[in-house]
Amino acid sequence: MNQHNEHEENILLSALIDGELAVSEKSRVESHLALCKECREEVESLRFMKSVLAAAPRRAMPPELISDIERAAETPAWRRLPQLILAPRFFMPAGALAALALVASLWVGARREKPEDFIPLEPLMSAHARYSAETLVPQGSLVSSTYSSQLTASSDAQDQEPD
Amino acid sequence: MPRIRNPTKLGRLLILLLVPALAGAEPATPDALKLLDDSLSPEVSFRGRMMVTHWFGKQTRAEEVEVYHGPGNLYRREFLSPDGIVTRVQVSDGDIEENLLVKHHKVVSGDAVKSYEKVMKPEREMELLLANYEISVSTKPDEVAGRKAWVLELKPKIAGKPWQKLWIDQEHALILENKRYLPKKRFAVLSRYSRIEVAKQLDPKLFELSLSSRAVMGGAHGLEPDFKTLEELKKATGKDVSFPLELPAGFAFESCDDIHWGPQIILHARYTDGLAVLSLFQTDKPVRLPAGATATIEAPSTKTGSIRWAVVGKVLSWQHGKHYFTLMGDVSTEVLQEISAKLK
Repeated sequence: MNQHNEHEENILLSALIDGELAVSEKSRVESHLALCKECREEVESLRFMKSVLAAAPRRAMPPELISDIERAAETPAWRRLPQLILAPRFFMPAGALAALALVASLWVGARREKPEDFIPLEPLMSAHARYSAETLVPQGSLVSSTYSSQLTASSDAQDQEPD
Repeated sequence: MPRIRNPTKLGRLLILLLVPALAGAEPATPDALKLLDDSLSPEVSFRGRMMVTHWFGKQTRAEEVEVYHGPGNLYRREFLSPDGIVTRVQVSDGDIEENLLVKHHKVVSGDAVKSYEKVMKPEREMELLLANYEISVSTKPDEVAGRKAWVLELKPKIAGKPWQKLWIDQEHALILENKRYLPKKRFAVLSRYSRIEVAKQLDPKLFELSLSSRAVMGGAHGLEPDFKTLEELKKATGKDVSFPLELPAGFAFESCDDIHWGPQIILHARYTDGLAVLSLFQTDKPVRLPAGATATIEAPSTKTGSIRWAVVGKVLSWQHGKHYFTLMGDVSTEVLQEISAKLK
């Protein structure tokens, strides 16, 4: 048996003190407390803490904070935006994200293939198809119908290539 | 035994009995090689409507074409869209071919197909064809576009290479239907006439060039291949060229060429087994294969190659030393791998 099953969980003990347990659960916890010294001590400790907190003086909310909240609630959201953006809790993570995006895009840009680093397949396919049209036995008779359509794409692409 | 007194009566009787029988009989099956040879350069004029269907991977593309053909390598092909509008026109006056790309308002001109003298002689090509393929004519003739045809089959002697079947007109040896299969008998191309008429002579204007005065003349861009020997290629490029003269699966070196792409020079070696052709390209920069449909397979060098299906067949590319190689042709992956292993 593990610790959770041997002793009642702290949350149940806290709920017992606050009177929030159902009847069946309350009787089960109480019967456990009757046998378990450790849990009884824990209940005592929680009760003490509760009484200390209850005895602590309550501080009233500063009037200027109340008026700030009321003013903010009345101001439209779009007018609060510049203030929000300038708040450190917003611009610090946003700045970090932007820096990360910049580094990532620089890295991707550096890795991207430049046109001069490779040769497209189209001129090779076009040359092969053109040769296929010269075979002794015609390949499907009108094989040139293939190369001329490839040629269109190929010539358009080559038109853009620097000489 | 009754005696026929008048022998002419017997002759008449025999003629009456034999003529209908002879008229209904099929002509004798021709010699396969002679039939193939006759079909390769038809010497009659004809016009017809043809459907060309290409299969590549899981895709197909079909086009209808109005064909005009005259002796002396004259041809005109009008490619039609499904609604019958002409999208592309090819015209050859025997030497020059013009391609009018209707949508682009552009004419691209180059040398006509079959207007060259290749490095490999036709006799050698035929020799390779016979060495690599079984050629036979079916004893059962067929009919295409209302014309009687012989069915000629070209069957590879080793696996992994294309098959081809030709339906050849019994009267004029015109190729009425042409079916090309990839290895394992998958379709590659099918072209078939739905209508064909032999004409005494077609209007010469059909084969005149300069199709449209509005069109812009484009560059030839690969339409003017050169058929060079290895020595000529070395001289022309000043590059170290070491293409083998023979490849596995019965392929032999036919010719080579150099293609200029911007500052890059692409070396192109061509191989044939008499029917199928292979292209081997050597470049100093890698060739970019389009994304998708690529698979990594074992290639000859320490690097792996990529293989993909393309309109022209399969493409295999790899790096060896400081050069990049690209091999393409409609043979099986196994044959491509076997060939690429030879190029170590």
